Amino acid sequence: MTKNRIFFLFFNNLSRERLQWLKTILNQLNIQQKSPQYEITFFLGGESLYSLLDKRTSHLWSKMLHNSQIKLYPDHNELRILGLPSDLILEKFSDSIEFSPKYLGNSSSFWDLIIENVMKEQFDSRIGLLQNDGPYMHRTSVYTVRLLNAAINRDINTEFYGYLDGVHIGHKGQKPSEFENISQSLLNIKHKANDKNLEFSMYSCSRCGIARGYIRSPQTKDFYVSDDTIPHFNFCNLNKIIDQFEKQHPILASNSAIVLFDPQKNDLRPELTIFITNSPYASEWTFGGISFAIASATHNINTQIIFIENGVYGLIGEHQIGEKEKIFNLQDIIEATADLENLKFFLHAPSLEKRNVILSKMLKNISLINNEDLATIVLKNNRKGLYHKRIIFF
Amino acid sequence: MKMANFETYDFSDLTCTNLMIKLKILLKKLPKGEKIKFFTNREQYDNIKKPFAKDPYKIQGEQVEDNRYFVAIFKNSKR
Repeated sequence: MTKNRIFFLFFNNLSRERLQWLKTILNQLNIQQKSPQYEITFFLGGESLYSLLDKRTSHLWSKMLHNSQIKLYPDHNELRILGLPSDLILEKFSDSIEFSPKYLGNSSSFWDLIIENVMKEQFDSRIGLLQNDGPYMHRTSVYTVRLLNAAINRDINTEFYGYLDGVHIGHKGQKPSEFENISQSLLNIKHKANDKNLEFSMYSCSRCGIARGYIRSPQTKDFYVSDDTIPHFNFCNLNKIIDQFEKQHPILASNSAIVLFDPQKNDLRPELTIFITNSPYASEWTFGGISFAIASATHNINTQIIFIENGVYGLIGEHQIGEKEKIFNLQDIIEATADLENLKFFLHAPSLEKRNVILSKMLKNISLINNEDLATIVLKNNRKGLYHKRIIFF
Repeated sequence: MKMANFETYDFSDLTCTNLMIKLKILLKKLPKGEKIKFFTNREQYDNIKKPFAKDPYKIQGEQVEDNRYFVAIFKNSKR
């Protein structure tokens, strides 16, 4: 029997709070039934691997993985690097974590496994990778390079989208003394793709590029390469990146998910859910996520913004921000864009309760949701003809 | 964001999404029957023509230079 499939990819810290709500919403899918409709796969790399051992989170994994419809693939190579005992983890979750001999024997096969699983039964032999972190400060740039490589190795056309600090990944002249040279790795992938007659396109957000000094004069072309980046590293309007989100190919980010519904269809644009998980102004995460969602909605993509975890701090009190502060007032943005046809704002009530805060009375266009609603909005199919939902954590 | 004169903004430095956000915020606060006036470039004008052509808004644009448009958006007084 064919099933709906959900793939989660986590490279950053997986908090107890996140695992708790994930566990609760997955329970809403009735995967305990005799004929479950969903098959769920977690791919864990980087810091998220600590959650398998940590006392605050490992019991949540134990409960989730008790269900045979949920599988977990840890990055075995990264477990070794982090000094995490594979044997202990294997013993703890022996029935549900995949440690096949083939998988154990090859350090790169975690990435192959992601590509193999996600690309199964896809319409388009193409995959997209969204990178929001810069190189060196964040190891996610290494993981992105691994995934790009794995895709090209499997003869899949590949697209890289640089956003926020992710645009730094293409800076030319990188010469790290100890670390893997990320821009050189991108060029190597480009050469390999050319040799195999495959497409490997790199698109980076011009707003992020202008802010970071890559583009210093007005540009009239749709795509342009900065004097400061490697060849083929194109800057473009965010709308050009969102053009790619209108298509059906899977798009992954460091912390993301893909929901694929059965039966396979190709007629509706994939929906996009943006989880806002950070406080509003300390970093560019919140504005970046909202800006991305607004661009998506204006491309007629059904888009949800869900404020969750520390993201709920953006919706309390009344933000009083003057012109001089040079910050977009998050609350003004929400109220002003609520009339966009394809954009909806939600607030995760359990995250509010945990922080002992309440929704600002100023905000009239936010729907408060519980975990049951969250499962329906994010993981279930509410539209006829929809095949594909994308989820990105900001 | 620069002010070209007393009440005409110059938004040509803003990216398309940021311009959309900026206009949405300004129009939300604008009294009915009033308008906002600003300069944009071609790409920005192309991007905002459709979203602001629907009720309660009306948009008018005029090319004033090679890559520069003078745009006015009116907020309908009837709604």
